Amino acid sequence: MLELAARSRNIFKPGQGKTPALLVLMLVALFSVTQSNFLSTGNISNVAIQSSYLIIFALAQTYVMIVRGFDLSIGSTVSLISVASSMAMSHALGLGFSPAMAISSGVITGIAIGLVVGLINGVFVAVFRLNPFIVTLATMNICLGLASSISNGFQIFNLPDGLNATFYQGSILGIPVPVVAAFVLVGLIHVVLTQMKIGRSSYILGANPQAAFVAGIPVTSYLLLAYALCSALAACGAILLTARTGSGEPNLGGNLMLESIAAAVVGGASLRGGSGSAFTPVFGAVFITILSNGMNLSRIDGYIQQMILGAIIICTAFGEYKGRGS
Amino acid sequence: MNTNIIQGSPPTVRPGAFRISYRAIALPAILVATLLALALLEPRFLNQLNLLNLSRNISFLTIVGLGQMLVMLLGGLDLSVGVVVAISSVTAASMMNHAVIWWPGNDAFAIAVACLSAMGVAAMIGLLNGLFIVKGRASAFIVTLGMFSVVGGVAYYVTAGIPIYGLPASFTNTLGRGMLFGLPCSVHFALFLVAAILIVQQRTRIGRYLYAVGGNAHAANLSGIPVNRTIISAYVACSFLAGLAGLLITARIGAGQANLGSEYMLHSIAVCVIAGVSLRGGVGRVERVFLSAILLTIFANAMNLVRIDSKLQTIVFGIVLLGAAMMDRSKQSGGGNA
Repeated sequence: MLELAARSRNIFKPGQGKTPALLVLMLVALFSVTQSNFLSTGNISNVAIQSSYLIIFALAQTYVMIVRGFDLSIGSTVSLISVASSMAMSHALGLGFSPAMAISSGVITGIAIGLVVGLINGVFVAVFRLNPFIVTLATMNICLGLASSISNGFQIFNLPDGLNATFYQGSILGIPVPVVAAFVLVGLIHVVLTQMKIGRSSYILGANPQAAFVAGIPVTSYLLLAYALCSALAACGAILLTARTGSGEPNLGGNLMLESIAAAVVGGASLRGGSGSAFTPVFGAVFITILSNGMNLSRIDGYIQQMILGAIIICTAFGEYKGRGS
Repeated sequence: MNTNIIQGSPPTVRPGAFRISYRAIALPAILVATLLALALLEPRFLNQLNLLNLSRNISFLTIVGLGQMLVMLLGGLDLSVGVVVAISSVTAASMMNHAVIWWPGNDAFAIAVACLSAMGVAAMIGLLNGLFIVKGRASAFIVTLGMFSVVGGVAYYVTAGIPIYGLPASFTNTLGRGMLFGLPCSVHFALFLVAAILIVQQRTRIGRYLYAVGGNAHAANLSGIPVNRTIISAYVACSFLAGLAGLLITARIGAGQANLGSEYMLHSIAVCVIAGVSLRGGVGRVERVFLSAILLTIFANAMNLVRIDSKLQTIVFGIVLLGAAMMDRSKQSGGGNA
């Protein structure tokens, strides 16, 4: 019944079901005709690596959107984690730990901060029943302030050598680590959403919270876990991004709030909750990455790209409330 | 965001008598306490320059906050107010510099043309927001988030991120630095708008429409209220007010800038939350929005005076927002989480 509800909505909402995949194909066709080097091996692997970061953040955003929430704090959480885990790593190196130990301390710090931010969001949204907009707007500011004050606004260098080599340049079976990570996380969330009780009840929880409560679903704890999971996923992405830049950046997540929401809604998640799957953010993120890659190759101004992204976000919103009320 | 507009969810509970008295006392009390503490502990607070500056900042925030309140009353939200401030500033400044050359020796006319075009651009953005939300049946959050990206991109694109200087002195000296009855120009604008919106809300049909549509759009529709037109007008008014604030800020700093007003998106929403305007629509009062704009600005000023680092101020701001939302929690009638 849950699947039925989710599927029937796919027909009505543009940008869901097969549409994102079609959009991606159309973009690929457009850019491969207009830009000769778009289909070069180098560019394809570049797009694959680029989009894997956005896939992770869009996946996090989609998960909270399924339970009818969203996370505005995702970008500044990424900045905070980048700075804090870098400080942990360089501090551990300074204490004489081995690079591997330093990296694991950074990863643990990052995931722990992600969980804490997510739990704070979750407690206010699920337990105190505050509007997720206000809560995540507040935590966005708090994380932003923390990220810039603990780093004094400076980048953090002296990271262990192995970080970049492992998490950015490394590969498993010839596939770059960020791509593997995105695959693994998408697979994990897919299993959670389709096989586990918490994931399957998320849909009814988002589509109709009252019904979920009446049906005996532990609404509060599932909501809480959704926000914790969202920020934990963001933490994984943040560590991968930090490994790519090779330094802790206090403004690493600058555009991520907008981009992750864009990728999630282009993929087919809805602010109304109850729709989306683990694969929808993949399409959304790949679409946005290919779009920006193609526009970069075509030398389109960055500000014009920003306008186009905004226009796409507006287009996805059309018809969201079709067939309901007034 | 505006789910309750479109879906016609159960009416939001109106503030009952005990709630009115609680909030009516709480805000002024906190304000008076803050003022007293500052006056006693911080001698620089009562400095004339500081007070003038404070009054200007209060008026800018009040004007944008009033606009935000109008859309929030309808259960909507406008994330694009900050970039409307910027685009209004950029439009006014570049038009002014051109118009002064087109009509030499007629500065007043050139300034008027520039101001009108800036306000026109602002109102048009509001119209687009309203049309997309009503006709496209889209959520206010997504539409205005997209508009935020589009308009911000335009503002930066046309200026290439470089401030536009060289505005006519007659513009900056009157609207920016001018004083009337011992108060800056912008304060008069803000006071006039507070009074005007107060009268519109309490004495006119449009004012009652706002609360009716925000409270229960479905019932309002059935009672023959032009729901769509009310929603579109509110978004136009919101952008118009943000555009006006953009003009006043431009006159004050003497330059058109694409990064102007970026804080107003957050601050205007915070002002409304502190004032008890419900994100579900139907609840909110003009005078409290004014009071909380004063409170928030004074709070920021106090943190500057005691030299709290601006990075820490962001953190404090987030905590205040959460605290205000927690205080408001008792008003929410349980149930949904969005």
